[in-house]
Amino acid sequence: MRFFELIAIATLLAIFSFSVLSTTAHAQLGEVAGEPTFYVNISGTYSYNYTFINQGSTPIPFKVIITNFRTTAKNATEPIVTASPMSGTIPPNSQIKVRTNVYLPAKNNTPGMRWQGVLEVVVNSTSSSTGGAVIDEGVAKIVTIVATAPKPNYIVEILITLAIAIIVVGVAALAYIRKSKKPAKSARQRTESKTKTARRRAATSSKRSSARRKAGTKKRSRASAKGRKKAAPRRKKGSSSRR
Amino acid sequence: MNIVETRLRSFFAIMASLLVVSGTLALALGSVAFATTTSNVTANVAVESVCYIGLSTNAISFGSLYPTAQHADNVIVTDSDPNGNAAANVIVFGGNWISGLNSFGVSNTTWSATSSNTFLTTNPLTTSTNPTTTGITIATPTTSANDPSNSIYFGLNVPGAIPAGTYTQTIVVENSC
Repeated sequence: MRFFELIAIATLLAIFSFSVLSTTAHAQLGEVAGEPTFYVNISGTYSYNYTFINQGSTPIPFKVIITNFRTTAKNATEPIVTASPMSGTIPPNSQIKVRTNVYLPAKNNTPGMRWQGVLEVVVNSTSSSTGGAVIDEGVAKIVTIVATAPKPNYIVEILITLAIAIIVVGVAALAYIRKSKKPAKSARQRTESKTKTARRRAATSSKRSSARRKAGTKKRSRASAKGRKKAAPRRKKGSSSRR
Repeated sequence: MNIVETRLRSFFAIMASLLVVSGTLALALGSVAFATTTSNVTANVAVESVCYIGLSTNAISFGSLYPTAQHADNVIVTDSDPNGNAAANVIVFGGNWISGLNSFGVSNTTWSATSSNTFLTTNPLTTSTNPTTTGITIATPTTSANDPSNSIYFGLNVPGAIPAGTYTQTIVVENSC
């Protein structure tokens, strides 16, 4: 009897421990509730963090799937949705944030257009099935994107303003340089002209002085000649008297 | 005797008065030394709404089938929301059936919210780029029923003229809240 009792107790203990293991070692994927709507400017971007939870005691390897974003509007350009990370492992009893970026192209899109798609986090299962289907579990987030009017592009405006300012400053600088170069030339010219005039003046004054000198010598010679002429009769008179 | 009696009485009276005084002092000191002050600490917690997923099985089998044979929509998968606090909507999608280089389309598998003895073509399985919101919901878990669940049933139509082989498919069941 004792032997059978021991076996029964051991079996019960094994079943209990197995059940405990099977419940505690179970990975459990979850997500924070809420179906968000992103209001994205046309030609603009929008970012959002999704929180996914592993409530279990084993890590969950996962992959992210982003579906097509559909709209009822014709010829509309689908938003470009990316997520990071696209795969990874959620540690036990913790959570992970998946950053989602949305870019809404401008082509054929107008404010008010709506798109709907799904962001999925699926467990990378290791289970396999031959002749059947493997059932993987995951959590999904239905995302709605609404187009809003494009934001004015301040960067372009700033760049244009900067370019205009640079052009204006450049033109002003050129004008200033030209102006500042011209007076320098004229000063040189002035000095040159001054020296030239000084030389001319000097030349003219020397000519004049030589002329005057010449004139003076002429006068003086004339005067001496006259003096000689006048003195001659005197001599004649004297000579005659002498005679 | 009277003198002794009176002295004893006075002694006891002094002792009693000393006891009273010391007791009063002890009480006063005790009240000062062991005075307790009470202050309140306000604790806050924001409990977020979450939903989880728990599936009853990770693999289903449709057995051995001939080309053009149909398996009724009665292969059950139970989807639960254990320990969550928000209701969940069930989304499904899948991949093609593959056997080596041979394959047939995902839409040959159908899903249904109810068990059916016939193969229903109304809800063919779609691919991951276009998952299907089934309309099957899992109720909000409560403290008394913290693991609500619901069922989704699968069936299969084997196309004609496909090569014999062991085909496998991946079906993804998701909870969304």
